[in-house]
Amino acid sequence: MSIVDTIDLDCVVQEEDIQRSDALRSRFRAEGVRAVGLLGSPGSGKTTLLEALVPAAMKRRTVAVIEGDIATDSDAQRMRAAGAVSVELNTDGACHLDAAMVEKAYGELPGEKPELLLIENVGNLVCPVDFPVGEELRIAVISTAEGEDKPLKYPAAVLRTDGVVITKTDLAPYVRVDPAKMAAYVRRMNPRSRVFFSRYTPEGALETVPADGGSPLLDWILG
Amino acid sequence: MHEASLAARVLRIAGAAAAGRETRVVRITVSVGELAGVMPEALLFAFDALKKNTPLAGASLVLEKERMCARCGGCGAEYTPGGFPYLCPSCGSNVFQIVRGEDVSVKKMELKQDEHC
Repeated sequence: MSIVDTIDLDCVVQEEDIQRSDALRSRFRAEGVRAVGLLGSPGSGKTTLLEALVPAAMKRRTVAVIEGDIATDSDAQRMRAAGAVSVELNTDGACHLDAAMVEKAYGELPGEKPELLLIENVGNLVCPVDFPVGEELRIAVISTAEGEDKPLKYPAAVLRTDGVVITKTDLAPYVRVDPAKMAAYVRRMNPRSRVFFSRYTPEGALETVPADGGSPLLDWILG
Repeated sequence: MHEASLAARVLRIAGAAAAGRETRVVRITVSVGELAGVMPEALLFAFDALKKNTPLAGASLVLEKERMCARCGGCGAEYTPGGFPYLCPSCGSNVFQIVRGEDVSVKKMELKQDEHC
């Protein structure tokens, strides 16, 4: 029962996902599309953030949104109401999007190719991090209501993204969270990460401001 | 979270590498990065479930944990980070790029001769 042969492989098991995402990113670039991905827990405020970003972005670029959800097309409807071209990508139970799904949804977008393609992942702070979808930028959305320590508890979501939007800072006093502390955690974990705060103003407008002294969120997204 | 599909791919990679050989795979060594989001027990369970009735049914899976490795953005040194903040032990810079620890990799396979009567 002796070993007669050893084959050295060093073969990355997720290579297929990475290659598909790289190929999709190349396609987006070749077609003049800048893709930006959003990921975060269910209810973190991804769609609400996009509802505010879309009309502002549309003053400067043509915009389309791919909405990832397990079920319903309500988010795509919200994006269309906000003015963007949008397709809903239902995963029927899967907890994340992958590059193949996104490429298919991209092909289903009606009309001209958009200059900005926003990709909202299925609500989940874990799995989407492992599956790049051809995006230039990945943004994690974490709300104050989820708890102050969430950046520390989900390190991959901070280490493997380019920026974090800390949402619902208007709720911070009610959920006893210090948004500045959340921003400091992100900065300490990943000094290259951009950090933003977003909240509803008393007038009922969603306001997003940089928490790191950098450029506004929309400028950063548009590149 | 996606151990079953990862196990299926490990079997596919190993099956392709072993194809056409007279020998039989007895052990497959896979490294699991600490940032890969993989539960070792679930990967082993999925592997054992999926290998049945395949040419790899007799193979066992050995998992090795791969520590995270960061490359310093200041001086280029590679280091294993401890707690946050990640600081380069050589120059103290807090700018880094993760260079290892995000992947699951098939490292090697060991094979043996089939016993014939």
